[in-house]
Amino acid sequence: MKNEYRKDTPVDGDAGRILLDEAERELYDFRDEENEENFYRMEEGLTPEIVRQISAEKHDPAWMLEFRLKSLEIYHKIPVPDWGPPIDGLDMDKISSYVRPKTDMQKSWEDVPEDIKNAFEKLGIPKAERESLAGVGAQYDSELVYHNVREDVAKSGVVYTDMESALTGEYAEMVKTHFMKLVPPTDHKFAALHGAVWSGGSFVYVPKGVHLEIPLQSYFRLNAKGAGQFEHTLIIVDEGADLHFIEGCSAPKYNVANLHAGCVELYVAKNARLRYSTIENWSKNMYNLNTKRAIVEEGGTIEWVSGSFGSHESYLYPTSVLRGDGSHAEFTGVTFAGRGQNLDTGAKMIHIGRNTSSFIDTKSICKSGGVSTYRSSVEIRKSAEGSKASVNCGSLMLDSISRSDTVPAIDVRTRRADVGHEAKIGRISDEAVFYLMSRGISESEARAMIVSGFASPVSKELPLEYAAEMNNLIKLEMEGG
Amino acid sequence: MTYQVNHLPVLTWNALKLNAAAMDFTPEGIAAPALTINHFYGDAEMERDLPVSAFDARIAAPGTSNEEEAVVAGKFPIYAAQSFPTGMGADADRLMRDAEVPGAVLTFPENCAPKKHITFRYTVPAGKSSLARLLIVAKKGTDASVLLYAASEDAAAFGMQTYVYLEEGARLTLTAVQRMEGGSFFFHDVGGWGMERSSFTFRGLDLGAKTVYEGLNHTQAGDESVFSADLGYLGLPGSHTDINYNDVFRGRRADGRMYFKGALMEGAEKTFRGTIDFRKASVGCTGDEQEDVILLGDDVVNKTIPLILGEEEDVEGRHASTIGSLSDDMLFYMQTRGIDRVRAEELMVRASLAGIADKIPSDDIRCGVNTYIADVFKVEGDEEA
Repeated sequence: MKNEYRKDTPVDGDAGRILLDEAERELYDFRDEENEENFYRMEEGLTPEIVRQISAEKHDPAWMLEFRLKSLEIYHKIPVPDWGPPIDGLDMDKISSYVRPKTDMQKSWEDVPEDIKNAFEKLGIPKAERESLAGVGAQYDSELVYHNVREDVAKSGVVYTDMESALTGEYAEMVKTHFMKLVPPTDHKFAALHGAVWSGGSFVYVPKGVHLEIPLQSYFRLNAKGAGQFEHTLIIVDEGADLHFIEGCSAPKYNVANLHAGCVELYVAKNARLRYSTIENWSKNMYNLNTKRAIVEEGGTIEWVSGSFGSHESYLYPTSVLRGDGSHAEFTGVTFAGRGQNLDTGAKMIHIGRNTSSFIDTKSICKSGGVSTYRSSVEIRKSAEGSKASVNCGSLMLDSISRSDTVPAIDVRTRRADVGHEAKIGRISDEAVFYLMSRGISESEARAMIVSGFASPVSKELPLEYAAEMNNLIKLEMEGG
Repeated sequence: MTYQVNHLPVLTWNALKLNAAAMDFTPEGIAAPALTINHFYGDAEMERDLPVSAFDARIAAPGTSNEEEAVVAGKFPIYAAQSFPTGMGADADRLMRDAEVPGAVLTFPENCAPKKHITFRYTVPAGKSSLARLLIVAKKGTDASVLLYAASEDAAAFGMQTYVYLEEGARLTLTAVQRMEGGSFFFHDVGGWGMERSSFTFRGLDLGAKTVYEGLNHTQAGDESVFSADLGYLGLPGSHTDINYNDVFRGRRADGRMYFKGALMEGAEKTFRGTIDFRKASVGCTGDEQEDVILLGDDVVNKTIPLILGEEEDVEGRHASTIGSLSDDMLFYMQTRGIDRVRAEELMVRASLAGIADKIPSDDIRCGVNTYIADVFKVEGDEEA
């Protein structure tokens, strides 16, 4: 089994470096053949008729159909961004925005169709659920195929369900109040696209004072060729509550463009804490145009932990809006751009409340012609007196055919603020490689170890299994060269 | 007319309004500034009043043009290419052509090492607009210092372009001090090009004008060239300062550093763009950039965007910035020694700008700068004290 590394492979120190055999390169690249018997596929393109069809498929309430159509109008009005990686290769007329396996969502892995279950088995999701998660959602193409939450967690009042059920069930009003309010369709072109064709994703509500000791996880798998995935994740952590949510994603590689334009909206109430961890490993034909945003109330904390390894091109800048006094945000991220990848990643911090604080720590690595851009903005508004912000970004270039840029912006509007920023770009030092080689380590292993060490601020923040997966991905990328 | 100046080499989010600045200037009714050149020593040669076409012909620099590398990893620069890149960009050239500004060329012949600096004093008549262009050519082995000083008797507008071309082994220190009166408009657009083992030291101080645009682009074209820039500014109440500095590394084993120090008073706005740009084959280069801003007013706007662009593996680049006000601990310490807030702020601003002001090679201009800073922080009762 290709996912056996989770239990057998030795973990070496903080970096959790893992050695894999050649076969494990295919860990994420397997694919299931799509056929009419097992899958329903919407025609390619983006028209009001297609949006209506999606809405009908999903039995949307009337307001949602209206919302989708309005979003589509906005999408057509907003120009393609002119500042990031080129997305000329993305032709929406060749993307199917809705592909659904012909199965209902199940609460038991036994009831999930064999081929889909196997896909998630290979990715180790059921095993992870048994061993270390409080609940799991698994999305395959446009729909969730599995969703379950541990009984004791459900009894504590935690709601973890698919977005479609939330939209019409007991929490319908709460969903309506919060859905795309933090990321309105007018925000940018792909937020509007998401508003029009979104499907799948998770809704989480953690009641006041509830602390989840172990994480919830959603895993997104896009198997279909030439398709888009537009899941919506809405999480509300109520006053004094605490949650760690993990998001994973992968896809097999095709020779045509795939698109991911998901949306994550996180509401962190007074004195609540939310950690949102992501290991993104989309295939290298994927355009990853994802939007993530959190709003934090008084004394609340949002922590983003992000590893970006996949995608052909990425635009990803999780945003924290620190509205409440004394609220806090942290972003810890690593991006690894290899051959054929142009990954534009970073974070945004918006300080509105007094005495707010934010901390950004990112590492970018590029190799084999990959392009990595760190892009960020820290905004300290006039109202945010007494606020502090710190930005630290490091870039490591592993050869001279790659490119690494850092583009951090800072906007301060009050004198009662302290902002510090530091950026560094460099290479692996010959001395460090020589030192390791003098102790019997091969040059390629030495370089991989140094890169893993460079990325360790992120892996340290992840649960062990995910740190291992991240280091596995680094190892694969290093070998890929 | 509106000119798009001080553009970033690569675009970022348009909503930040940082990609470029819009500069309003009417290129009509331009009066020549009164220019005096002091300490004209050595064998330096001066040509004056070159027509636009003749001056433009002189600023055609060798090497790769921006146009040839317009697409960098899929990123398109937003500016038009310049034969001799400057910090403010092609629109500053256009403005000079629109206004038909004559240029001057100062040439230091080979191995020329004047014992004293050369001072260009530009004085703009009150209420008038003036423009000037200067090309400094430092031939092989030059070791020279030039001081540019811009002043006005009352509110006025003055803009200048300075091009610096350094041949192999040439060393030049360029100091530019702006001391225009309140309400004035000022811009200084600098383009530098350094060949093998050249050394370019730039020191700039902006004190007085209400609207300031500062742009500098230095191309370290030759191997083992050295570049150093220090810019200081004092953002007066209600002032607007827009800065764009680029250090472009093309040669090998070059070293560049850019330090920026400034203070913003009540209602002052400042935008800073600084780029360390490692182009392909700039093997073994090191670039360093530091910005420190003291915020003195409640209603300030401080925007900063420091870029590091890397196309070469074997480089080291670093940027750091600190933005904030005087800490309560610092103020308390000062107050225990009988120094009130205003005086403490003056001390900090003086300390911040001293590294540049103390190196101004003219005694009277240096004294004038120190007096000016003291005057800015003068409060009622200071005279008696």
